[in-house]
Amino acid sequence: MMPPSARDNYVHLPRRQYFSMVEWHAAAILAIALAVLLVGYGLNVEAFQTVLPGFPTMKARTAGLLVLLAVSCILSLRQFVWAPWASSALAVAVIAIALSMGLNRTESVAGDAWSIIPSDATIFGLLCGGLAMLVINHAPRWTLFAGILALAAATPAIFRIIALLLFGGAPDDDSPLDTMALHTAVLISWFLMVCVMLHPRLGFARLLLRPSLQGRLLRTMLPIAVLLPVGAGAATLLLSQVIGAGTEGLFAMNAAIYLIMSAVMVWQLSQLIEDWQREANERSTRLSRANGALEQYALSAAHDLKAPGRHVLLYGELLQEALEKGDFATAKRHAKSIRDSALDMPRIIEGMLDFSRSAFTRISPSVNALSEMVQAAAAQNAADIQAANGAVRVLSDARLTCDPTLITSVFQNLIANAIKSRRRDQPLDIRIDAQREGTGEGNGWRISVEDNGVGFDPDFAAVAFNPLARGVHTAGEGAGIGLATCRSIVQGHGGRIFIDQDYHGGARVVFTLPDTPAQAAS
Amino acid sequence: MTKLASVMIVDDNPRCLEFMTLAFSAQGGVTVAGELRPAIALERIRTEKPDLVLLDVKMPEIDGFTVLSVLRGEGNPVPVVMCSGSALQKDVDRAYATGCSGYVEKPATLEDYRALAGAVVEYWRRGELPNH
Repeated sequence: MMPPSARDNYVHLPRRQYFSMVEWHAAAILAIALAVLLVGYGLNVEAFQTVLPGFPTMKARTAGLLVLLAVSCILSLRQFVWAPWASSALAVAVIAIALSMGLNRTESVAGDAWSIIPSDATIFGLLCGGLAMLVINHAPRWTLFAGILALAAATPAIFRIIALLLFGGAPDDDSPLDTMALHTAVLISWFLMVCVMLHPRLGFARLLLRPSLQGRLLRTMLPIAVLLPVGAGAATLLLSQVIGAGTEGLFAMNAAIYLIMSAVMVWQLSQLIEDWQREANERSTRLSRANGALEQYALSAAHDLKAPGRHVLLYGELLQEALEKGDFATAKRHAKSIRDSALDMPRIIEGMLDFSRSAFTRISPSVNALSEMVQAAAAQNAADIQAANGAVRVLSDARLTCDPTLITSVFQNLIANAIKSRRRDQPLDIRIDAQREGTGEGNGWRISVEDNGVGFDPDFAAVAFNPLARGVHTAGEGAGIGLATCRSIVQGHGGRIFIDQDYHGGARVVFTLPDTPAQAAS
Repeated sequence: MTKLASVMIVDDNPRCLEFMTLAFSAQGGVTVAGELRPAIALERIRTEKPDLVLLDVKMPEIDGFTVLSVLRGEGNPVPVVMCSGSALQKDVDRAYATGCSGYVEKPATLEDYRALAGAVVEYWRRGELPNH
């Protein structure tokens, strides 16, 4: 089987398969309605008319209209040019017949099965089915309306199935549902819920059945699904007490309430889908930004790795020439250069590995003391700090919600930078401070790491967090990837990092950590 | 109008600078000056007025494009040959659009370095160079 393209993909099924799934449902409805007509009324087999002994019968007119609706649905799924028009013609026929039945309720003629008028609820269901098919075929912008109609008409039918099976029929004899047969209710709700609601042109299914939406969908839909029939029933009952309307009046009220509540439900669904779509768009924007950065990074990395390789080759040639001339002093110098160039390579690769790890690691947040993480970071740089006659001080401690391993490596990188850019004429002093930041939802900590070194060049500060930017003082001392690593870790926590350019006593790097870290990198 | 007599090489990588300096010095008759820091290089180009500048593209602080556009912004007509580890078409296009006189990829062998220096010196010696 060919892999389905994104365009043709409905509910993870290839388009053709999805079409045929809905088509098979319509065909099954068609077969049952035809069986009722041909076997039930043609051969007069009672079981086909009632399903269970003592239950109401499916009226011949209902079966006939269901046949028309099912064929209309099958035609609406076909690719011929005339198919939607033929489908709509059938739908119009269903609407016309249903309307005439609803408006001209004539007494049935004894012995003539075709003269019996179906219940109001059945007529309503058939009418909505016909309207929905019409909308699906010709008004793609109004398909939400088709969804409202289908939901409004399917709910009483489902209610009727429950009433028939659990309570032996509608409790109220005057109810508009009282003559609706079990299989009529099944076929109508089946048609509306599958052939209309899951119709590929309606597009509900492909959005609603996405795994990422299912949880939210259930949470939103469950209360509404319970409230819709209960609320409509209760409201109708209350109104009937107040105005004392007859059966038709009650049914009209009930249908109106169903329509309004279905509209509310579909409105909520569309909100849900819109939110989900917005989130998906944001995710994809973030992803393409990350991809862009990665592409730029890969280019820079390739460029930077090329250089030491080329240098080893070139110094090799110079060494050879010097040896041929017998100039051993120069040869020795070139040999040292070969060694230095070769040393650059693992350093660049190591930096790239660190950066990649930090960019793609999932953060596992826990509450940690700032001082402990700083202590752990300082311990890893202990020898260099001692050599620089330096000290690392935490001015005010804080309890931070973060991944302790990753944030420790941020401190380690910043301390290592401070050591590299220290002033040789004075002892190194690294101060780390934490302050509360923001109010309301954006609460978090603002952590600053400052030193008394040479500071950042203003021009370098602008590009410092680029993976392969190099400060002047670090030339030859590393791939300059440390700040980029810090940035990807802090961004992974949902924070930001920057160089405080107003500080002139050395370098001050500031980063923020929100109280609830976001997995922005994922 | 003058003939090519002095070249300034600007590259943040001391090794690249060494290769380029060696290759150009080997041509003879050309004074070669090297500079690792682009900001200082800008100053030196203004004051020392070299006949030709060989400018690395990728540098910290200020990249080659910025150095070139500053020079052209000041109306400095000095011929600039851009030099990069990888000649991406978009970089080449950008360099010419900014006003460079040539764009070369950094050679991978000594022979190529010498050939490059030879070709550049030969080319600029034949033609007349603009006055500062």
